[in-house]
Amino acid sequence: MKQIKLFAFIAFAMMTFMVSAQKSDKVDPRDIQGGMWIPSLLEGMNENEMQMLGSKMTAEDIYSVNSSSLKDAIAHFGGGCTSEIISPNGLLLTNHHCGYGVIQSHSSVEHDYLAEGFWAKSYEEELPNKTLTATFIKRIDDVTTQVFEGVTPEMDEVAKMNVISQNIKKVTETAQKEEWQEANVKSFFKGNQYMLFVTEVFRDVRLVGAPPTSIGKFGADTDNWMWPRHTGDFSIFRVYADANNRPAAYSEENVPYKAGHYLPISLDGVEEEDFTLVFGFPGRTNEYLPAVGVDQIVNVLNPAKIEVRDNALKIIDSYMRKDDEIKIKYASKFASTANYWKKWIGESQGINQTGAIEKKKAMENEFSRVVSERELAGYSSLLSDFERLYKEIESVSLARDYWIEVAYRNVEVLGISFNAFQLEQAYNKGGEAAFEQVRNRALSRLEGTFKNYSPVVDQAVFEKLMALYAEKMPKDFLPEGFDAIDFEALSKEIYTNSKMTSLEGAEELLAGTADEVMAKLDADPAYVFGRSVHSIFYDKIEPNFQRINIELAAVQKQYMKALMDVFPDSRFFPDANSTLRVNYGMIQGYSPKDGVYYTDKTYLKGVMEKYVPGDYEFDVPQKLQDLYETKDYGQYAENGKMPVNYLSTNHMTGGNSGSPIIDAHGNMIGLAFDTTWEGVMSDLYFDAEIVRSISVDIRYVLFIIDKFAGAQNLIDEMTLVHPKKKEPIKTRP
Amino acid sequence: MNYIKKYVIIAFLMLTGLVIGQENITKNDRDIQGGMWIPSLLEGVNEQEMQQLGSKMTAKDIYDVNNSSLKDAIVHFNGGCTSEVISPNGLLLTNHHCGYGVIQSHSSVDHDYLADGFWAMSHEEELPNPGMVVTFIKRIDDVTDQVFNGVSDDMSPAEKSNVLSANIQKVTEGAQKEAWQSAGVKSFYKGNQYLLFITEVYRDVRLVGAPPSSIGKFGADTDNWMWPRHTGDFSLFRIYADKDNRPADYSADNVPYTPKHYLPISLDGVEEEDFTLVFGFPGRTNEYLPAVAVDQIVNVSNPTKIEIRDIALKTIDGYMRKDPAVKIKYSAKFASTANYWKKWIGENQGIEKSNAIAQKRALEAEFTQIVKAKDLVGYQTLLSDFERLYKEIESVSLARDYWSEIAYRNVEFLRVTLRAFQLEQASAKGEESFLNAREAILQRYASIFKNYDAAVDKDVFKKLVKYYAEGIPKEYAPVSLMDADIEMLADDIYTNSKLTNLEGAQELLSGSMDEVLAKLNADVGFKFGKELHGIFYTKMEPKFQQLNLEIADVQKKYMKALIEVFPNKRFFPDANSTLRVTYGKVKGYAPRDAVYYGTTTYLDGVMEKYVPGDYEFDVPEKLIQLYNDKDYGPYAENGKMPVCFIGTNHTTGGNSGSPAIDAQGNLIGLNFDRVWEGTMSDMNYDPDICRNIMVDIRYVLFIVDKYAGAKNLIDEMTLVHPKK
Repeated sequence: MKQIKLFAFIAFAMMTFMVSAQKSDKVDPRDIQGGMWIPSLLEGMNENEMQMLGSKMTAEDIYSVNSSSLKDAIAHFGGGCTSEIISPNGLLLTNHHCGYGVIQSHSSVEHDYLAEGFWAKSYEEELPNKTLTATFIKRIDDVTTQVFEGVTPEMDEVAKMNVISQNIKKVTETAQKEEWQEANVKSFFKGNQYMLFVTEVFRDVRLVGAPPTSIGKFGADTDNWMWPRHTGDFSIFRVYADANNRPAAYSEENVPYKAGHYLPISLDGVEEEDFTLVFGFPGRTNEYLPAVGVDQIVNVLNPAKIEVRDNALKIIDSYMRKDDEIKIKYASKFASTANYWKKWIGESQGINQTGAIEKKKAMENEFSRVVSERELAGYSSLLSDFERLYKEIESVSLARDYWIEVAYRNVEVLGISFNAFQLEQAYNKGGEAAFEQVRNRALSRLEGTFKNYSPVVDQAVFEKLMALYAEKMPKDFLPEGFDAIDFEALSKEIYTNSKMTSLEGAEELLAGTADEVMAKLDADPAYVFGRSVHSIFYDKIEPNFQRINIELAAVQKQYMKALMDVFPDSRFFPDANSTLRVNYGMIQGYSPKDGVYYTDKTYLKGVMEKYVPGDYEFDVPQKLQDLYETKDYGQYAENGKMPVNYLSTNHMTGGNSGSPIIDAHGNMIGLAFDTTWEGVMSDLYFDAEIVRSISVDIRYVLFIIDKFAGAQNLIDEMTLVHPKKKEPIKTRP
Repeated sequence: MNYIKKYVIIAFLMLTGLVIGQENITKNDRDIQGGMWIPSLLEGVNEQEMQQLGSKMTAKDIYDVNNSSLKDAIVHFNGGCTSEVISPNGLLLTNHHCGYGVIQSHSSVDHDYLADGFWAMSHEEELPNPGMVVTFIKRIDDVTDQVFNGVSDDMSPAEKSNVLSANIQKVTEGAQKEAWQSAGVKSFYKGNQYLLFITEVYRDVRLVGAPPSSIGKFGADTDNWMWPRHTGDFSLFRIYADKDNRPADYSADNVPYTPKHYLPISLDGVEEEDFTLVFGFPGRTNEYLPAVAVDQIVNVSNPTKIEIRDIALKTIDGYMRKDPAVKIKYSAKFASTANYWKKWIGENQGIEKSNAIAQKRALEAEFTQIVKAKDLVGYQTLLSDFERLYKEIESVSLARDYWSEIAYRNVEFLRVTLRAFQLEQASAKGEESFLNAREAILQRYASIFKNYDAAVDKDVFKKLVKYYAEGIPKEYAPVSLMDADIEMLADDIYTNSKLTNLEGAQELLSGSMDEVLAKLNADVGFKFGKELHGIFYTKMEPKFQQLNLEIADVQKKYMKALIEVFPNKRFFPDANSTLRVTYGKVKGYAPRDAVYYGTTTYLDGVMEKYVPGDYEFDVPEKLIQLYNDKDYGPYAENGKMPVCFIGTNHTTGGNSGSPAIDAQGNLIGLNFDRVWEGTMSDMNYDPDICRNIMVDIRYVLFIVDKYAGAKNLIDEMTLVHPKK
């Protein structure tokens, strides 16, 4: 079994050769951006590319096991976001939306920290959080050889998996580490490479500061995924350790953590084309799907999901415009439904605009040519396997999306009937005990569901979406006799007679013994109809989907390996998997459409342009308005203007939220929090022309802490630097 | 009586002095853009400003009585738009939206020229248009002295007005001109200056070519006022003359008109900062309103009108989204209501963004200070007169907005009652007048009810009549709305009035005059409408008109005073549908933080906006093909096909169809719109955000040549390469 490391080496060697051979030719900076790289493997190609983009750092500056390096300042925040240490006393910076749940949990009617913000003026005022953790990566080792030990090509997939699992367990258990450290193994390149991570998980992380949501969440749903953006999306925590600077559960005795490294903060701001490095824990990408897979997503699945939500949104919108009460009830649900609707539209547009499918097809043609030329027999059927499997999975994937979008998500009464359906399933499988447990959970959900429910709206959505379901759902996955249903009549029947369209009714329905409840459910029209739809999901859709998906994963693993074998000098990075990664790029605006150019930076002036007094998304705190009026920006302004957000070409995805943007010298210059709408396809395909991430300018963070919140104590513990003044001449590739 | 000409001369002298005194200091380019200047008065300041902006032309190149000049190619198009001659054979270019009515009039089910476009491949195929005229300006004379002859300060306004009218008539009649020419006198600077125009009005103008609406009106309502824009808004006509090249009625014997000048066409395109001159007939501006008036427009009148339309639009939209039948009935009405709603919002934002009110207040403070310092007695009360009069007119003006937006425009049922109310008024003049009015009204009803939905209108009624009851100044509130239960009122009217459907209305209007009047006055809906409309005619309108006359009188004096007090400021006369020159540059702009709009759009953007089958964003198959093949001929720019561009030229309605002319006098574009952020330029021009939108002339040529295959038209033009 060949291992990935080998390919990586070949790739490095080739690239280095290529680069030195073309030393005088200018490398197009667009070709060396994109990718989420493993920090322990930066030497060679990545280091070269970064330096071509303007970095002054070595690979060792970024990741080193023996000396302190940037990575020592980077922490996985609560398992979902990224955060970074910005003071010698364990001060931790992340996004407001990453700290949101924690800030909310400390809020009450008297102290609404979401609305008002929160600032600890001393250690004593910091607020502990029971389950919040911050995880530092101490070491990353390639354990591919050990994990594949004893695996032979003759083994079937199950046998291979068993050996691999045992090997992983062994590697984890025998990993060389301190007792307060943890170890785990993660798979890369679709299971072609395995890495061991030795980590320290700190369990005493306290809330230090957060701006009000009118700063930290400014623009809310409307601005989500949008540029120009004006959000001060940050919150501040502190990591505490025991007397030995080691992880410990919360204790008053704990002391602020001394990290192996903390990030100095640059006051010099950014300019277009400045080098930017992002360090963080991106969650999930799918960069190596075959063209047929991307095609299916953007031309079959996304349009189906978009159409369902389009219909739901239009109906809800028409009621919201006519009735203020409905507007209040549905505003947040509407925004949440619109959120991914917007993302899918953007994703499909981005794929089309960049010609991603054609480019993948061209690459696959080249792949086939090389495979046949070099007679790489093991790879010759991969693309046709993909074709076959994607064809096979198409109708079941589509059915699954229709079920999720219509029956699970957008017709609310069907969502309610689904909870009841699970109750019946639980009873059938686990008897009275399981029934009670599931009933309690269902009952506790009902109140939240009905608090913002209008049966009139839901009925209109039901009629429209069920008609769509009947028309568009692949026929194999429709209940018997579905074609013959008169949905207007059925909806009248359901919304007049079902108990599931009101809280009282639903509670009444679920009251009594298990048998009584079952009998009542069997007589309820919404339930009977819902069950016919949901049972098909469990009996036919999901098992088929999972079965084909496993086959696809096996082909995808082979294909990944084959790609690197066939194209040894292409840039392959492992898909994101919530492990620590480095990506690099530059500050840059973009042109979203003909005649329009988005420049790279926004300013406080733009906050005031968007200001809508009293609005739930665009209100601006009085204090901030006063600071704007008096231009009281302290040392944080740029030519008399207060920068707020900026764009860079860094390749990011969910999980990178809260990641630091780091300059050419290793100083922090910004805080990543979103990607732009035109570039949301970067999870499938990266294009440096239009993919942009959005960051808070670190000077806006400092300005809010200092001038808005008056928390000078926090500024004092940071190290503020002027890297551009020290070194006025910047060299760029 | 001092005349404006003197001030202008003083202004010129002062400015010239200023310029000479500061020989090496050029003024900031920003400060010399904006303004709609009289072409016969360009020498001096305007000429210098144009040259500073890059023009290579002299004032005489633009306007000359004795030699041919640019003005000889500029034509007032049917009284509303501008057009220009682009060939020695009288070929005339204007906007598609200017030719729209004419194109429509030639269309039938068999030949839908709006949908398919029209191209005459020979003179014989060109389509004549009876009633249509185009007007050339031969000469402009200042006749202020003659018009004010015999006017003295001690005369009453009525006396003055009589003398002026008599003088104007005399000047017009005594004007030196050829038999086939016309003469007309127009007032400038609010009646402080009078100019005589000698014109030639050609009456045989034929349709030569028009692209389909999917090119000429691409983007339709959605893109109206918007940049980036991708509209090929042009159509082509030809002027015909008699054998002596003089105006004549249509005749098969007429021949193509030979112009004194026609515009050569540049193939070299534009770049940011290139000089642009726009020549045309702007309709109406209000640049010299006092701060108090602008304040009233943007803080009282516009917000009310915006809010009313907001309510109407949201209500209608709610129904349109739910019901496709309502959507079809209301989409054109919705777009038309949204059009000015959008303009007012843009106007308000622009005034705020350019800080226009504060700037006007600063100017007025300085004005007051100078008037006081120089002891200019006649001018001392002007600003307080404005304050008093605008305060006095505020409530009636607001009431008028309520009435016109709610009772006249947005509640359709109330408009139906207005027609019936007018019928009743007409009946006072006797049976014949009644019968005539009834016939006209029944026709109108047929078209109103064609796209009417009583359920939608009832909902709009409820919301807007409630708004009326709550907001209209008390002295204009109808008695029937005092403490009225509007829900009940609406139920009553939409259940019992005959005026909520065509059959009912026809039935109500049938019978003898007396029967109709009796039936009308028994109808619950009519009675309600009658009170609203009665108040408008008897209380609002007379007071509004009377105050407006007083304001106009103060405004006239104020205009004169401004020029006298600030002799070296740039004052141009407000637009009045006469020929004007405006100059500026090709330039992008930043509509908001972090967004920059570039100067030029390309065919790529048409394809980005393309929505197959859509009524606004469909793209003809042929154009898609040309795009895919990149078959752009000599019209492309670096392999891309330019479509539209923007400049800082100060334009308004009436400038539609105006040529954009380069530094050498060649045609580079065709003006057709302004950007939303700059729609306040009718009140206050700001070079940072006011932009006019033009079709790149190369896109016009590309469509004529490659899309329509009308090479015959290209052949008669003169294509030049001034940049090479």
